[in-house]
Amino acid sequence: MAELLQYIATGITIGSVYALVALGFTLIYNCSGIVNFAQGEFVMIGGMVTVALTAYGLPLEAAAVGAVGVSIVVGIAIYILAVAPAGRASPVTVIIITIGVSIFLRGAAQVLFGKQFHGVKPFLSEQPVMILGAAVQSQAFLVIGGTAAASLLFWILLERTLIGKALMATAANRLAAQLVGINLRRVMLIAFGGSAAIGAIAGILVTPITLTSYDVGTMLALKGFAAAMLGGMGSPLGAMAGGLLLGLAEALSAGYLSSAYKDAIAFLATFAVLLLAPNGLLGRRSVNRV
Amino acid sequence: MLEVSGASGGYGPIQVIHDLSVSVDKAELVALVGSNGAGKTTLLRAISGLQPLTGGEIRLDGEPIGHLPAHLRVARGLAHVPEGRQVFGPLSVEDNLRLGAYLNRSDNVSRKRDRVFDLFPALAEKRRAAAGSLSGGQQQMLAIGRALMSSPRVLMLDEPSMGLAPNLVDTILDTVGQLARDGMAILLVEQNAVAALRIAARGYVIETGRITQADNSGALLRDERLRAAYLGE
Ligand SMILES: Nc1ncnc2c1ncn2[C@@H]1O[C@H](COP(=O)(O)OP(=O)(O)OP(=O)(O)O)[C@@H](O)[C@H]1O
Ligand SMILES: [Mg+2]
Repeated sequence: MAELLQYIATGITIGSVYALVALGFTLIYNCSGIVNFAQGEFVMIGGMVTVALTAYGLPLEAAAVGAVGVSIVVGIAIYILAVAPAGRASPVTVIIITIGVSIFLRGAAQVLFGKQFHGVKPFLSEQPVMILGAAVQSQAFLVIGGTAAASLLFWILLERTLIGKALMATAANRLAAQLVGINLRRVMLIAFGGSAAIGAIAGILVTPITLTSYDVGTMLALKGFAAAMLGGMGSPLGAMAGGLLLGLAEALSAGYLSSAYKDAIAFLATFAVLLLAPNGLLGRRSVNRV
Repeated sequence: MLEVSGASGGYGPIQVIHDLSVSVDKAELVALVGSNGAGKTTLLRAISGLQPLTGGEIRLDGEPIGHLPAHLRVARGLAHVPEGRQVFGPLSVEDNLRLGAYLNRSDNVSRKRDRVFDLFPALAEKRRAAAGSLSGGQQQMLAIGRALMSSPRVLMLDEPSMGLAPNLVDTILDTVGQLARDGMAILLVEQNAVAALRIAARGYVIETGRITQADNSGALLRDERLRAAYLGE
């Protein structure tokens, strides 16, 4: 029982990170049809910049804000310098461009921060919290709570503000969005900036647990993408559900089978679900694109 | 109000419209009729900035707008109800209308919305329903209502009668006629040529991307050649 609880806590914690990465994918995908494979690098940037700024003596809060800011700047730069110049190129071309961007960002991080792992101290305390015999790190509660707060904020911005509605309108019908006067370029800037912020928040929260290094983004992008597919590409709720499920599948297989296979099992589970439900768990049946 | 001169363009290397000139005055309803694939939709898309022209000029109120991206043409007072309605399916009727006034941040948005509901009472009953769940006729009303929310000076409609029951076609075209009488410049694209020419003051006939006839509607409706080709007689 304590063991199971332990695995579940780990699964939800890591699943929260996948969920945020998947949410970032979803935001950009919905507005543009582009899958941004540099999404994992935002998590890396969030963690790395926090590490670097706290090392310079900044308080944690300031470092975190700085990390989100740097990530947003990088996200916007990706759009302006790499994605927008591709113009009306096919989504596949743009996806390959984002893979190139991801490789570039990893290289830059390696030069700046080296190849070793970096960490920050847990924000609250190093003492785990005991729940029914399971030892849960206090930071895990921050990851889960932070993910919940970030996705709630995301939802409110999307549903309750005019610019959020403009994003949803663009996702629903890009042609009509232009005809009501929505500036698609501005929507894309917001999508890339927002995705970058979401990814950075994940990186800031999880780095005390998982540590970070220049190349953590690669696996996170794959996991986040798998989570988005699992939940149904394009559905924010699906992204959240997919991320949590993937995290749970991974933690449980690592606990009960072998941690050597946890990645393989998580991907296999995703693959199996997609065979049964090609649109993912919460995916739309057909996407009406123009 | 709207003047298009010498417009040419198409899709990639394929030229679809050739040297088209069309104009619409204030408070005038002009019909653009022609068979399948003639290039009517392509012309409207070019006027509203959804696709580029390779040649020609577009002026709104005398000012060239051909260089502007689509959203800035909306800001100048041009609205386009596209072929196939293109409502924001997952969003509510109210949100669709709100977005129609996206560039209008002032507080008369709800007044304008009420006017649309007066014009199309069926929409008022469905204000919270997802646009995608509406019937074809209601979606067409919503598409028109959404365009009206930007308070356009020029309104372009692309086959608003497509796929609608005859009584609904009348309702929609009556409303369009009323909008022109109230002062809007309207360019109405229709395959349903008789219905369009009956409410229009003037009409253009377009064939394989070229204007072949331009006259007042009465003359076009009486034209033998046209009757044979488009009016199914
Ligand atoms: N996206 C596209 N890519 C390439 N060719 C296109 C595209 N859309 C339309 N065409 C071609 O351009 C020509 C004109 O099409 P357009 O849609 O403008 O005609 P239309 O007059 O609106 O016809 P309809 O009455 O059927 O709506 C047609 O030959 C069509 O095949
Ligand atoms: Mg057409």
